[in-house]
Amino acid sequence: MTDQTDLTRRLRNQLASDTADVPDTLSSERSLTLGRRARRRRTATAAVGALAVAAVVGGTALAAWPDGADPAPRHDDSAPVAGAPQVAEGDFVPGTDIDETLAAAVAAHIPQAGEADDIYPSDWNTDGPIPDARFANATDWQGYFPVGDNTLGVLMAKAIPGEPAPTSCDELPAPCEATTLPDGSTYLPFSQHTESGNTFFVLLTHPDGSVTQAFEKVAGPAEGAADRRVLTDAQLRALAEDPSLTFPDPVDPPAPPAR
Amino acid sequence: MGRRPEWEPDYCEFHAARQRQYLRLARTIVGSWASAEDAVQTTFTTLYLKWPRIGPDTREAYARRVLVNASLGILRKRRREVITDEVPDRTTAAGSEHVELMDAVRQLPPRDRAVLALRFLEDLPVVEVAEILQVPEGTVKSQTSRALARLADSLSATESTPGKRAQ
Repeated sequence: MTDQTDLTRRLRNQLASDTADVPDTLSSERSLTLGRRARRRRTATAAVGALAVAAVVGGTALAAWPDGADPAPRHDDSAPVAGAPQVAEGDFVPGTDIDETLAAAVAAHIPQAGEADDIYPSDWNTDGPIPDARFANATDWQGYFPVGDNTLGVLMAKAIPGEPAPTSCDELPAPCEATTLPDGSTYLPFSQHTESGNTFFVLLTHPDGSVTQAFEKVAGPAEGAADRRVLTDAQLRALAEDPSLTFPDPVDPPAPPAR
Repeated sequence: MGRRPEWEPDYCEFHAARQRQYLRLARTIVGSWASAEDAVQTTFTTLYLKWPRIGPDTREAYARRVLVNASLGILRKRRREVITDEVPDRTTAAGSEHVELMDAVRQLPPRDRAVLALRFLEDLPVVEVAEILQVPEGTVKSQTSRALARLADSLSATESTPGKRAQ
Protein backbone atom coordinates (compact mmCIF):
# COMPACT_ATOMS: atom_id res chain seq x y z
CA MET A 1 0.00 0.00 0.00
CA THR A 2 1.38 3.39 -0.91
CA ASP A 3 1.72 5.92 1.88
CA GLN A 4 -0.71 8.80 1.24
CA THR A 5 1.80 11.56 1.96
CA ASP A 6 4.24 9.99 -0.44
CA LEU A 7 1.45 9.55 -2.97
CA THR A 8 0.39 13.19 -2.86
CA ARG A 9 4.03 14.27 -3.20
CA ARG A 10 4.48 12.06 -6.22
CA LEU A 11 1.16 13.23 -7.60
CA ARG A 12 2.14 16.90 -7.32
CA ASN A 13 5.45 16.23 -9.05
CA GLN A 14 4.03 14.11 -11.80
CA LEU A 15 0.99 16.25 -12.55
CA ALA A 16 3.42 19.14 -12.91
CA SER A 17 5.83 17.27 -15.17
CA ASP A 18 3.03 15.65 -17.18
CA THR A 19 1.68 19.07 -18.10
CA ALA A 20 4.97 20.91 -18.41
CA ASP A 21 5.11 21.07 -22.19
CA VAL A 22 2.22 23.45 -22.70
CA PRO A 23 1.52 24.07 -26.38
CA ASP A 24 1.71 27.66 -27.43
CA THR A 25 -1.35 27.62 -29.64
CA LEU A 26 -3.86 29.81 -27.85
CA SER A 27 -3.82 33.52 -28.45
CA SER A 28 -5.72 36.36 -26.90
CA GLU A 29 -6.44 37.65 -30.42
CA ARG A 30 -8.28 34.44 -31.23
CA SER A 31 -10.22 34.63 -27.97
CA LEU A 32 -11.10 38.27 -28.65
CA THR A 33 -12.36 37.40 -32.11
CA LEU A 34 -14.47 34.51 -30.83
CA GLY A 35 -15.70 36.52 -27.87
CA ARG A 36 -16.72 39.48 -30.02
CA ARG A 37 -18.43 37.18 -32.48
CA ALA A 38 -20.33 35.48 -29.66
CA ARG A 39 -21.33 38.86 -28.28
CA ARG A 40 -22.61 39.97 -31.64
CA ARG A 41 -24.52 36.72 -32.05
CA ARG A 42 -26.11 37.21 -28.65
CA THR A 43 -26.97 40.77 -29.49
CA ALA A 44 -28.44 39.73 -32.80
CA THR A 45 -30.79 37.38 -31.01
CA ALA A 46 -31.93 40.19 -28.79
CA ALA A 47 -32.30 42.38 -31.83
CA VAL A 48 -34.85 40.22 -33.55
CA GLY A 49 -37.72 42.24 -32.14
CA ALA A 50 -36.20 45.46 -33.35
CA LEU A 51 -35.53 44.04 -36.75
CA ALA A 52 -39.10 42.89 -37.02
CA VAL A 53 -40.32 46.40 -36.43
CA ALA A 54 -37.70 47.77 -38.76
CA ALA A 55 -39.27 45.50 -41.35
CA VAL A 56 -42.67 46.98 -40.61
CA VAL A 57 -41.25 50.45 -40.85
CA GLY A 58 -39.65 49.56 -44.12
CA GLY A 59 -42.87 48.11 -45.44
CA THR A 60 -41.27 44.74 -45.94
CA ALA A 61 -43.78 43.13 -43.60
CA LEU A 62 -43.37 40.70 -40.77
CA ALA A 63 -44.52 37.90 -43.02
CA ALA A 64 -40.90 37.61 -44.06
CA TRP A 65 -40.36 35.95 -40.67
CA PRO A 66 -43.50 33.94 -40.09
CA ASP A 67 -44.59 33.69 -36.48
CA GLY A 68 -41.71 35.87 -35.45
CA ALA A 69 -39.12 33.19 -36.18
CA ASP A 70 -35.56 34.40 -35.92
CA PRO A 71 -34.08 35.41 -39.23
CA ALA A 72 -30.55 34.25 -39.82
CA PRO A 73 -28.29 37.09 -38.71
CA ARG A 74 -26.43 38.66 -41.59
CA HIS A 75 -23.66 40.23 -39.61
CA ASP A 76 -20.93 41.82 -41.54
CA ASP A 77 -18.06 40.02 -39.90
CA SER A 78 -15.72 41.43 -42.47
CA ALA A 79 -15.30 44.39 -40.20
CA PRO A 80 -11.78 43.90 -38.87
CA VAL A 81 -11.57 43.94 -35.15
CA ALA A 82 -7.92 43.39 -34.34
CA GLY A 83 -5.80 46.44 -33.79
CA ALA A 84 -8.73 48.67 -33.06
CA PRO A 85 -7.73 51.90 -31.37
CA GLN A 86 -8.15 52.09 -27.63
CA VAL A 87 -11.42 53.82 -26.91
CA ALA A 88 -13.09 55.32 -23.90
CA GLU A 89 -15.65 53.59 -21.66
CA GLY A 90 -18.91 53.16 -23.54
CA ASP A 91 -17.31 54.05 -26.85
CA PHE A 92 -18.36 51.18 -29.04
CA VAL A 93 -17.75 52.98 -32.31
CA PRO A 94 -14.58 55.03 -32.57
CA GLY A 95 -14.80 58.37 -34.33
CA THR A 96 -18.32 59.34 -33.34
CA ASP A 97 -20.16 60.20 -30.15
CA ILE A 98 -23.53 58.90 -31.34
CA ASP A 99 -23.02 55.73 -29.31
CA GLU A 100 -22.14 57.69 -26.16
CA THR A 101 -25.15 59.95 -26.69
CA LEU A 102 -27.45 56.96 -27.02
CA ALA A 103 -25.98 55.42 -23.86
CA ALA A 104 -26.38 58.72 -22.01
CA ALA A 105 -30.04 58.94 -23.00
CA VAL A 106 -30.63 55.46 -21.68
CA ALA A 107 -28.83 56.29 -18.45
CA ALA A 108 -30.97 59.40 -18.04
CA HIS A 109 -34.30 57.63 -18.43
CA ILE A 110 -33.67 54.02 -17.47
CA PRO A 111 -31.83 53.78 -14.16
CA GLN A 112 -32.29 50.00 -14.17
CA ALA A 113 -30.20 49.60 -17.31
CA GLY A 114 -26.73 48.13 -17.05
CA GLU A 115 -23.75 48.88 -19.22
CA ALA A 116 -24.56 48.51 -22.90
CA ASP A 117 -24.01 45.09 -24.40
CA ASP A 118 -23.53 46.72 -27.76
CA ILE A 119 -24.27 49.91 -29.65
CA TYR A 120 -23.72 49.97 -33.36
CA PRO A 121 -24.58 51.60 -36.66
CA SER A 122 -26.58 49.67 -39.21
CA ASP A 123 -28.49 50.26 -42.39
CA TRP A 124 -31.75 49.17 -43.89
CA ASN A 125 -30.08 46.39 -45.86
CA THR A 126 -28.21 44.86 -42.94
CA ASP A 127 -29.39 42.90 -39.92
CA GLY A 128 -26.91 43.74 -37.21
CA PRO A 129 -23.92 46.06 -37.40
CA ILE A 130 -22.30 47.52 -40.44
CA PRO A 131 -18.53 48.03 -40.13
CA ASP A 132 -17.80 50.81 -37.68
CA ALA A 133 -15.72 52.62 -40.27
CA ARG A 134 -18.90 53.14 -42.31
CA PHE A 135 -20.89 54.72 -39.47
CA ALA A 136 -21.30 57.93 -41.50
CA ASN A 137 -23.47 55.96 -43.92
CA ALA A 138 -25.67 54.46 -41.23
CA THR A 139 -29.41 54.68 -41.71
CA ASP A 140 -30.09 53.40 -38.24
CA TRP A 141 -28.38 53.02 -34.89
CA GLN A 142 -29.18 50.36 -32.36
CA GLY A 143 -28.26 49.85 -28.74
CA TYR A 144 -28.89 46.96 -26.36
CA PHE A 145 -28.77 47.06 -22.59
CA PRO A 146 -29.42 44.54 -19.82
CA VAL A 147 -32.34 45.38 -17.56
CA GLY A 148 -32.54 42.67 -14.96
CA ASP A 149 -33.23 39.45 -16.82
CA ASN A 150 -34.61 41.39 -19.78
CA THR A 151 -33.10 43.38 -22.61
CA LEU A 152 -33.73 47.00 -23.43
CA GLY A 153 -33.32 47.93 -27.07
CA VAL A 154 -33.18 51.35 -28.66
CA LEU A 155 -33.44 51.92 -32.39
CA MET A 156 -33.37 55.19 -34.27
CA ALA A 157 -33.87 54.93 -37.98
CA LYS A 158 -34.03 57.25 -40.97
CA ALA A 159 -37.05 57.17 -43.23
CA ILE A 160 -36.71 54.71 -46.08
CA PRO A 161 -37.35 56.48 -49.39
CA GLY A 162 -40.78 55.59 -50.74
CA GLU A 163 -41.70 53.53 -47.71
CA PRO A 164 -43.60 55.58 -45.18
CA ALA A 165 -43.25 54.65 -41.55
CA PRO A 166 -46.38 53.58 -39.66
CA THR A 167 -48.53 56.34 -38.28
CA SER A 168 -51.51 54.24 -37.27
CA CYS A 169 -52.13 51.01 -35.44
CA ASP A 170 -53.59 49.47 -38.60
CA GLU A 171 -50.07 49.31 -39.99
CA LEU A 172 -48.73 47.34 -37.05
CA PRO A 173 -48.90 43.61 -36.41
CA ALA A 174 -50.55 43.98 -33.02
CA PRO A 175 -53.26 46.09 -31.41
CA CYS A 176 -52.25 49.47 -30.09
CA GLU A 177 -53.57 52.90 -29.25
CA ALA A 178 -52.01 55.66 -31.34
CA THR A 179 -51.46 59.15 -29.96
CA THR A 180 -50.46 62.21 -31.96
CA LEU A 181 -47.99 64.35 -30.06
CA PRO A 182 -47.79 68.18 -30.20
CA ASP A 183 -44.77 68.09 -32.52
CA GLY A 184 -46.69 65.95 -35.02
CA SER A 185 -45.03 62.67 -34.05
CA THR A 186 -47.15 59.57 -33.61
CA TYR A 187 -46.75 57.46 -30.51
CA LEU A 188 -47.55 53.77 -31.03
CA PRO A 189 -47.12 51.35 -28.10
CA PHE A 190 -47.69 47.67 -28.81
CA SER A 191 -46.38 44.24 -27.95
CA GLN A 192 -45.45 41.10 -29.83
CA HIS A 193 -45.37 37.58 -28.46
CA THR A 194 -43.55 34.95 -30.48
CA GLU A 195 -41.62 31.77 -29.91
CA SER A 196 -38.48 33.83 -29.51
CA GLY A 197 -39.93 35.87 -26.69
CA ASN A 198 -42.11 38.81 -25.85
CA THR A 199 -41.30 42.32 -26.88
CA PHE A 200 -42.98 45.46 -25.60
CA PHE A 201 -42.45 48.29 -28.05
CA VAL A 202 -42.83 52.02 -27.98
CA LEU A 203 -42.63 53.33 -31.53
CA LEU A 204 -42.37 57.00 -32.29
CA THR A 205 -42.84 58.03 -35.91
CA HIS A 206 -41.59 61.56 -36.51
CA PRO A 207 -43.06 63.98 -39.06
CA ASP A 208 -40.08 63.50 -41.36
CA GLY A 209 -40.74 59.75 -41.50
CA SER A 210 -37.85 58.78 -39.24
CA VAL A 211 -38.60 56.58 -36.27
CA THR A 212 -37.33 56.11 -32.78
CA GLN A 213 -38.29 53.07 -30.83
CA ALA A 214 -37.52 51.65 -27.45
CA PHE A 215 -38.45 48.15 -26.50
CA GLU A 216 -38.13 45.67 -23.68
CA LYS A 217 -37.64 42.03 -24.59
CA VAL A 218 -38.86 39.51 -22.05
CA ALA A 219 -37.91 35.85 -22.40
CA GLY A 220 -40.20 32.93 -21.70
CA PRO A 221 -43.86 32.26 -22.35
CA ALA A 222 -46.32 34.97 -23.30
CA GLU A 223 -48.36 34.20 -20.23
CA GLY A 224 -47.20 36.46 -17.46
CA ALA A 225 -44.68 38.25 -19.68
CA ALA A 226 -46.13 41.64 -18.79
CA ASP A 227 -45.61 40.82 -15.13
CA ARG A 228 -41.98 39.98 -15.80
CA ARG A 229 -41.28 43.40 -17.26
CA VAL A 230 -38.74 45.57 -15.51
CA LEU A 231 -39.67 48.77 -17.35
CA THR A 232 -42.86 50.67 -17.97
CA ASP A 233 -44.19 52.03 -21.24
CA ALA A 234 -43.82 55.50 -19.70
CA GLN A 235 -40.09 54.93 -19.28
CA LEU A 236 -39.74 53.63 -22.82
CA ARG A 237 -41.72 56.57 -24.15
CA ALA A 238 -39.62 59.10 -22.25
CA LEU A 239 -36.52 57.48 -23.70
CA ALA A 240 -37.90 57.40 -27.24
CA GLU A 241 -38.85 61.07 -26.97
CA ASP A 242 -35.41 62.13 -25.79
CA PRO A 243 -34.37 64.84 -28.26
CA SER A 244 -30.76 63.71 -28.20
CA LEU A 245 -31.66 60.52 -30.05
CA THR A 246 -30.82 61.76 -33.50
CA PHE A 247 -27.98 61.23 -35.93
CA PRO A 248 -26.87 62.82 -39.20
CA ASP A 249 -28.30 61.77 -42.53
CA PRO A 250 -26.09 59.20 -44.27
CA VAL A 251 -23.30 60.76 -46.31
CA ASP A 252 -23.58 58.11 -48.99
CA PRO A 253 -26.98 56.46 -48.49
CA PRO A 254 -27.31 52.80 -49.41
CA ALA A 255 -29.89 51.78 -51.97
CA PRO A 256 -33.31 51.30 -50.41
CA PRO A 257 -34.09 47.70 -49.56
CA ALA A 258 -35.50 45.60 -52.38
CA ARG A 259 -39.24 45.10 -52.14
CA MET B 1 -11.86 49.33 -36.86
CA GLY B 2 -14.13 47.56 -34.44
CA ARG B 3 -16.05 48.07 -31.24
CA ARG B 4 -13.70 47.51 -28.40
CA PRO B 5 -14.90 47.90 -24.85
CA GLU B 6 -12.48 49.50 -22.45
CA TRP B 7 -12.15 46.36 -20.37
CA GLU B 8 -10.54 44.36 -23.19
CA PRO B 9 -6.97 45.13 -22.09
CA ASP B 10 -7.82 43.71 -18.65
CA TYR B 11 -9.25 40.66 -20.32
CA CYS B 12 -6.15 40.24 -22.48
CA GLU B 13 -3.91 40.59 -19.44
CA PHE B 14 -5.89 37.91 -17.63
CA HIS B 15 -5.78 35.73 -20.73
CA ALA B 16 -2.01 36.01 -21.02
CA ALA B 17 -1.48 35.37 -17.33
CA ARG B 18 -3.75 32.35 -17.06
CA GLN B 19 -3.79 30.50 -20.37
CA ARG B 20 -0.86 28.17 -19.62
CA GLN B 21 -2.16 27.43 -16.16
CA TYR B 22 -5.64 26.71 -17.47
CA LEU B 23 -4.30 24.50 -20.25
CA ARG B 24 -2.46 22.41 -17.68
CA LEU B 25 -5.54 22.11 -15.52
CA ALA B 26 -7.74 21.15 -18.47
CA ARG B 27 -5.09 18.74 -19.79
CA THR B 28 -5.10 16.89 -16.49
CA ILE B 29 -8.87 16.53 -16.60
CA VAL B 30 -9.45 15.75 -20.26
CA GLY B 31 -6.22 13.87 -20.98
CA SER B 32 -5.09 15.53 -24.21
CA TRP B 33 -3.78 18.91 -25.22
CA ALA B 34 -6.20 19.19 -28.14
CA SER B 35 -9.24 18.78 -25.93
CA ALA B 36 -7.65 20.97 -23.29
CA GLU B 37 -7.33 23.73 -25.86
CA ASP B 38 -11.00 23.35 -26.73
CA ALA B 39 -11.96 23.62 -23.08
CA VAL B 40 -9.75 26.64 -22.48
CA GLN B 41 -10.96 28.36 -25.64
CA THR B 42 -14.56 27.80 -24.56
CA THR B 43 -13.67 29.20 -21.16
CA PHE B 44 -12.10 32.37 -22.51
CA THR B 45 -15.00 32.94 -24.92
CA THR B 46 -17.46 32.60 -22.04
CA LEU B 47 -15.32 34.90 -19.93
CA TYR B 48 -15.39 37.52 -22.67
CA LEU B 49 -19.18 37.49 -22.72
CA LYS B 50 -19.42 37.77 -18.95
CA TRP B 51 -16.37 39.92 -18.27
CA PRO B 52 -18.09 43.26 -17.51
CA ARG B 53 -20.24 41.55 -14.90
CA ILE B 54 -17.58 39.49 -13.17
CA GLY B 55 -15.87 41.25 -10.31
CA PRO B 56 -12.08 40.97 -10.02
CA ASP B 57 -12.45 39.12 -6.72
CA THR B 58 -14.57 36.36 -8.20
CA ARG B 59 -12.95 36.20 -11.62
CA GLU B 60 -10.48 33.45 -10.83
CA ALA B 61 -12.99 31.11 -9.25
CA TYR B 62 -15.52 31.78 -12.00
CA ALA B 63 -12.98 31.07 -14.73
CA ARG B 64 -11.87 27.82 -13.12
CA ARG B 65 -15.50 26.76 -12.67
CA VAL B 66 -16.22 27.40 -16.34
CA LEU B 67 -13.04 25.55 -17.28
CA VAL B 68 -13.84 22.50 -15.16
CA ASN B 69 -17.38 22.40 -16.51
CA ALA B 70 -16.15 22.80 -20.09
CA SER B 71 -13.64 20.00 -19.56
CA LEU B 72 -16.24 17.68 -18.05
CA GLY B 73 -18.59 18.57 -20.90
CA ILE B 74 -15.99 17.56 -23.46
CA LEU B 75 -15.51 14.25 -21.68
CA ARG B 76 -19.24 13.63 -21.62
CA LYS B 77 -19.33 14.10 -25.38
CA ARG B 78 -16.68 11.49 -25.96
CA ARG B 79 -17.55 9.24 -23.08
CA ARG B 80 -17.01 6.12 -25.09
CA GLU B 81 -13.65 7.16 -26.40
CA VAL B 82 -10.48 6.03 -24.71
CA ILE B 83 -7.98 8.70 -23.83
CA THR B 84 -4.90 7.40 -25.56
CA ASP B 85 -2.74 10.33 -26.58
CA GLU B 86 0.12 11.93 -24.75
CA VAL B 87 1.55 8.71 -23.34
CA PRO B 88 5.01 9.76 -22.16
CA ASP B 89 7.87 8.09 -23.93
CA ARG B 90 10.00 7.29 -20.92
CA THR B 91 11.75 4.03 -20.21
CA THR B 92 13.77 4.70 -17.09
CA ALA B 93 12.64 3.41 -13.74
CA ALA B 94 11.49 6.90 -12.80
CA GLY B 95 9.74 7.17 -16.15
CA SER B 96 7.93 3.90 -15.61
CA GLU B 97 6.73 5.13 -12.28
CA HIS B 98 5.53 8.31 -13.95
CA VAL B 99 3.61 6.40 -16.58
CA GLU B 100 2.02 4.16 -14.00
CA LEU B 101 0.86 7.01 -11.81
CA MET B 102 -0.45 9.06 -14.70
CA ASP B 103 -2.13 6.00 -16.19
CA ALA B 104 -3.82 5.51 -12.87
CA VAL B 105 -4.88 9.15 -12.82
CA ARG B 106 -6.34 8.83 -16.32
CA GLN B 107 -8.39 5.85 -15.22
CA LEU B 108 -10.09 7.84 -12.48
CA PRO B 109 -13.58 9.23 -13.02
CA PRO B 110 -13.45 12.75 -14.52
CA ARG B 111 -14.65 14.50 -11.38
CA ASP B 112 -11.95 12.76 -9.34
CA ARG B 113 -9.37 14.01 -11.83
CA ALA B 114 -10.81 17.49 -11.53
CA VAL B 115 -10.56 17.42 -7.75
CA LEU B 116 -7.01 16.09 -7.81
CA ALA B 117 -5.96 18.62 -10.41
CA LEU B 118 -7.38 21.50 -8.42
CA ARG B 119 -5.89 20.24 -5.16
CA PHE B 120 -2.47 18.99 -6.29
CA LEU B 121 -1.72 20.72 -9.59
CA GLU B 122 -3.27 24.09 -8.79
CA ASP B 123 -2.49 23.66 -5.09
CA LEU B 124 -5.81 25.16 -4.09
CA PRO B 125 -7.16 24.83 -0.56
CA VAL B 126 -10.28 22.78 0.02
CA VAL B 127 -12.44 25.87 0.49
CA GLU B 128 -11.53 27.22 -2.96
CA VAL B 129 -12.04 23.88 -4.65
CA ALA B 130 -15.45 23.67 -3.00
CA GLU B 131 -16.31 27.11 -4.38
CA ILE B 132 -15.18 26.17 -7.88
CA LEU B 133 -17.04 22.86 -7.91
CA GLN B 134 -19.94 24.35 -5.98
CA VAL B 135 -20.05 21.50 -3.51
CA PRO B 136 -19.61 21.46 0.28
CA GLU B 137 -16.05 21.38 1.62
CA GLY B 138 -16.74 17.97 3.10
CA THR B 139 -17.51 16.65 -0.36
CA VAL B 140 -14.18 17.93 -1.65
CA LYS B 141 -12.39 16.23 1.23
CA SER B 142 -14.17 12.94 0.72
CA GLN B 143 -13.72 13.04 -3.06
CA THR B 144 -10.03 13.76 -2.64
CA SER B 145 -9.62 10.97 -0.14
CA ARG B 146 -11.51 8.52 -2.33
CA ALA B 147 -9.54 9.47 -5.43
CA LEU B 148 -6.24 9.06 -3.61
CA ALA B 149 -7.36 5.69 -2.29
CA ARG B 150 -8.25 4.60 -5.81
CA LEU B 151 -4.87 5.74 -7.03
CA ALA B 152 -3.09 3.90 -4.26
CA ASP B 153 -5.06 0.74 -4.97
CA SER B 154 -4.34 1.01 -8.65
CA LEU B 155 -0.63 1.47 -8.05
CA SER B 156 -0.50 -1.37 -5.56
CA ALA B 157 -2.16 -3.63 -8.08
CA THR B 158 0.36 -2.59 -10.72
CA GLU B 159 3.33 -3.10 -8.41
CA SER B 160 2.11 -6.55 -7.42
CA THR B 161 1.78 -7.64 -11.04
CA PRO B 162 5.02 -9.42 -12.08
CA GLY B 163 6.82 -7.80 -14.99
CA LYS B 164 4.61 -4.74 -15.07
CA ARG B 165 7.29 -2.28 -14.02
CA ALA B 166 9.83 -3.67 -16.41
CA GLN B 167 7.73 -2.85 -19.48
